Amino acid sequence: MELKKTAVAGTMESSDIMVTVEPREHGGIVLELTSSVMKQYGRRIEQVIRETAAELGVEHALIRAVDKGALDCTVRARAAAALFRAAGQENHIWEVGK
Amino acid sequence: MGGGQVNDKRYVKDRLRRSMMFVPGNNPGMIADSRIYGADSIMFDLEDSVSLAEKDAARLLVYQALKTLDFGKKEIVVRVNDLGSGLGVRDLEAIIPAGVHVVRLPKTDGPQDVADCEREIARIEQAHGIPVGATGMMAAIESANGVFNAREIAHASDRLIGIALGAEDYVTDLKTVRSDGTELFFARSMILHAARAAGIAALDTVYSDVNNEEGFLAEVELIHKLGFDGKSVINPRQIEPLHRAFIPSERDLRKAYDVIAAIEEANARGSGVISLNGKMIDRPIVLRAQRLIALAEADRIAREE
Amino acid sequence: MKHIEYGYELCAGRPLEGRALAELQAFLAERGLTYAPGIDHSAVIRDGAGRIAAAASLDRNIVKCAAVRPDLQGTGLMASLITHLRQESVSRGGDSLFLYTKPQNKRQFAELGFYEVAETEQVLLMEDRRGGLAAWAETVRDPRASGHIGCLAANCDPMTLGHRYLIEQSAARCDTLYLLVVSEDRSTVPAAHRRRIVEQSVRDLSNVAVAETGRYLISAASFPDYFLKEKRTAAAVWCSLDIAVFCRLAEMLGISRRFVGTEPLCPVTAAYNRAMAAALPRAGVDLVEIPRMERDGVPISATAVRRLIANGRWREIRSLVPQAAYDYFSEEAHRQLFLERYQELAETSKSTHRRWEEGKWS
Repeated sequence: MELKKTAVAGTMESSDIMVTVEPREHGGIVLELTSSVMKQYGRRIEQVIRETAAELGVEHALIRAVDKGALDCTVRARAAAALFRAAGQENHIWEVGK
Repeated sequence: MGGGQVNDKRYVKDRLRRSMMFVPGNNPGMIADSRIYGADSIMFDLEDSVSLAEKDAARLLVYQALKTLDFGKKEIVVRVNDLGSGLGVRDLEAIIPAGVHVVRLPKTDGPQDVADCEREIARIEQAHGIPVGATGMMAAIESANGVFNAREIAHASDRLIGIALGAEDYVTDLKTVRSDGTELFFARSMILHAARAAGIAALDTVYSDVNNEEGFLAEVELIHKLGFDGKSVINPRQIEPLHRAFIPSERDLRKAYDVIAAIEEANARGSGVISLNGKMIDRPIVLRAQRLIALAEADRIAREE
Repeated sequence: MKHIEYGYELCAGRPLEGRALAELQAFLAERGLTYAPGIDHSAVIRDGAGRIAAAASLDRNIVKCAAVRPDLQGTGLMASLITHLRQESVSRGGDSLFLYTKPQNKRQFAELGFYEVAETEQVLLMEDRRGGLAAWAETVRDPRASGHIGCLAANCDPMTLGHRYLIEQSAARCDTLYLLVVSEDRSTVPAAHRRRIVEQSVRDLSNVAVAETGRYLISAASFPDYFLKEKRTAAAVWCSLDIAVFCRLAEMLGISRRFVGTEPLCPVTAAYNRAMAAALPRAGVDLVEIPRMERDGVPISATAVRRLIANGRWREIRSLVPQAAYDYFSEEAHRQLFLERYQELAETSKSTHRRWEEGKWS
């Protein structure tokens, strides 16, 4: 999936995560994560975001995320929403996260 | 990750539905918390509580939640957008493979709306290898037209588990506002009769003034008396008092057990005439006793969760 | 965060007007903040009774006038506002959000995804991305840079022979010179045009790398001071922050010399130079002052050049500016553009300028 523009999804409200995706030409997936539960779950959140990008075939992007204690399913949903929006894609692939 | 189906896929036609908790589909905190409140059914909303710009994000969020969160024995309902908006089909395409018990169709004006939705559901079930018919439906009636068509709507599909009143849009259609319930009397009666004639559940609208407990209780008492199975709620605080109103009193329950015991005794003796404390027990009394006991039993099971 | 569900309402859009604006100004004043000029978008959260519970605004991509009522702090209202402003900035094209605030607010905003760019005793500059400054430094970096690396920042509005002299003298005193042209468009000649003229005018100087100051080094005039109680300290606060940002850049690019022209006329610039002379050595950077080039006993100034063009005497700038600048103004369309911007600036800068001139320097 090709990213066309910067896009954001989610909020910084409790239990949510705000994910901002910026297209990049190279450099892989660069992740900037802030989390209220960084110590316990920082690595896990990062892993879920990277998995989601990989599943959607996104190789290069700057992904900024501000986490407020989101569950895995929320991280996955928000990352996917931001990536789809950045790609300008309307039809979602409902196989994400299988 | 998130692969296995965590919740039972198939819906149950007849079950306890005193409370259907309304959860905005784009609010992860409320989705996660919805598991801990004692509502009988949880309804994730993709329709009016989600702004147009957030429809895609909410759909993804509910999809992921349905796939991965364990909702125990609760009934999972998703209110989709109406099919005419172009969003409804996309909602169905997401939530049916994710595993939903009941699809709540908003703004149902006639039986064709139900048929159209059912056709899409069947198509998606087939495409995903889900047994056709595994997904239940309920229809919300929110207009004068819909109220008049309630009977046809209630009979429009075998998948229907119930019909519900959506009062906010309905009162606007009537050119009035919500007040003491007088304005809803006709619609409630129509919907209740239509549901009973079709043998499905009748579900009442939300009470939106969350700070007015007295008003809420009065409305609950009214719909309970009318014969409704339950009501939509928007605040977890409303669940407990709502359930309490539907739980049979100790006295009524004791009486019900006595009725059942008298029948069993009469059956054992081979006696055709059944009486208790000198009073004849006819069929309606038995049915009411059975229903009361079933309700108390369902409540006990729900509490054990 | 349950708060916002029941009774709290966020309204956002164009800057407020009339009574709503007065209400916001009073709300900010109670918090020791002033409603800042330049705001182009405001978000306000009201409680069930319709009173302002929290508010935040945008001036392009700078967050301004962000505040929450004290009794509602810690309820997530600021998170809702910043969420909204981030969405707004993405819808405008996805720029970073910047934030100038009091240092004690660092943690609150760090939790909302802001990262420190630079900090002084009185002010903290944050950006909603971690690697912003470093990424910008990479765009400035010249791969051929080696030896003693110097830096000179100039507005060049427009470039004069005085600038040319300053650049030459600086370039002769180091092995590589980064020439940073001010990116901000608070000028009579647009930034892109200024940069092109500079590039054309230094082509013969092989060790000069032209870049822009980017969004990190801003001019004193656009420094937000809405959070300072004592507005007269604004100039000094800006100055200390600007130097702190420069020191970080210097470290990233290996800059060891900062060049400035001597400033006999403008007290603001003179004070800035003095502050740099005091602060830079601590970051391992030497400040080198280069005397201004004079013509007929007065320094060549861009102000004088602008005045000539504004008065329709543009041909007379020939002896004051490099060929590229003269060629630029030979075009009618460029002069027209200049005149429009000149008038606009004269109107907006009068008041701010006066405030800055009165600024107290420590």
